[in-house]
Amino acid sequence: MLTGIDINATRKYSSKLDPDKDNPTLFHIGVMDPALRAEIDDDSSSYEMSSTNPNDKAKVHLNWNKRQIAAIKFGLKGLDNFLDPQTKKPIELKFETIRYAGKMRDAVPDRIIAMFSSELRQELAEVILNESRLSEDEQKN
Amino acid sequence: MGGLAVNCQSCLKGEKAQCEFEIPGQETWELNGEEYQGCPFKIVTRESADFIRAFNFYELGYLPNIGGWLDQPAKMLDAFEVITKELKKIEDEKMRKRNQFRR
Repeated sequence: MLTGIDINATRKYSSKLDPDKDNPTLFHIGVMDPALRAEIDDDSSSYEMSSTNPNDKAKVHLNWNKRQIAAIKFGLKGLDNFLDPQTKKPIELKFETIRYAGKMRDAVPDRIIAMFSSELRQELAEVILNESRLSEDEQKN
Repeated sequence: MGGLAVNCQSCLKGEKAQCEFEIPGQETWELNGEEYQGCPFKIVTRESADFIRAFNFYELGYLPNIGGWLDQPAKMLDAFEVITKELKKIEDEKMRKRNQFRR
């Protein structure tokens, strides 16, 4: 668990899906600032309300894939021992710098994210997003 | 913080074997209307203690990371909101009790 105070802190995480328990791939999970977290939330969700009929229920659209990709793109800070499916060698994660949520940020390139299975993307995004939120238990503590 | 009237220092240092607030066989503790599984002081995490420490500096005008509040971890700011709300609740309760005595 990260303390959630140092913005540059990371923690190493190995996936539940990793079959190699002795030498697993390690994902470095980072901390999000409020602008980044809000941008990811807003970018991947939209609300629709009927202006003509006030009794209509509001509709919420969530773009899960977009949300997962954005979370990994900006929340993943390092990667150890992840083999390139083509070369079978550990990939070297080189970040690209792009403008997002008000400033220039290091981002995981799309070609690396494309190497992750959809289950892994889902798991990683959940871990990254949860790391930047206070759970109910944490609020109580 | 929070004006707790319970002295747990010697227990937390490992010098106390028994707690006067513990009822044997009772697993749920109640403190300020909240229910806890076990002694609430023992389940406060290192993370919570760090947030409270950072909050004290924040009140003095210091942020833990360079930049403004938008450059701080979102989770920490959430924690600060929770702490502020809890302190407000405690302050309101104190005020309510003070006013009760005045009447």
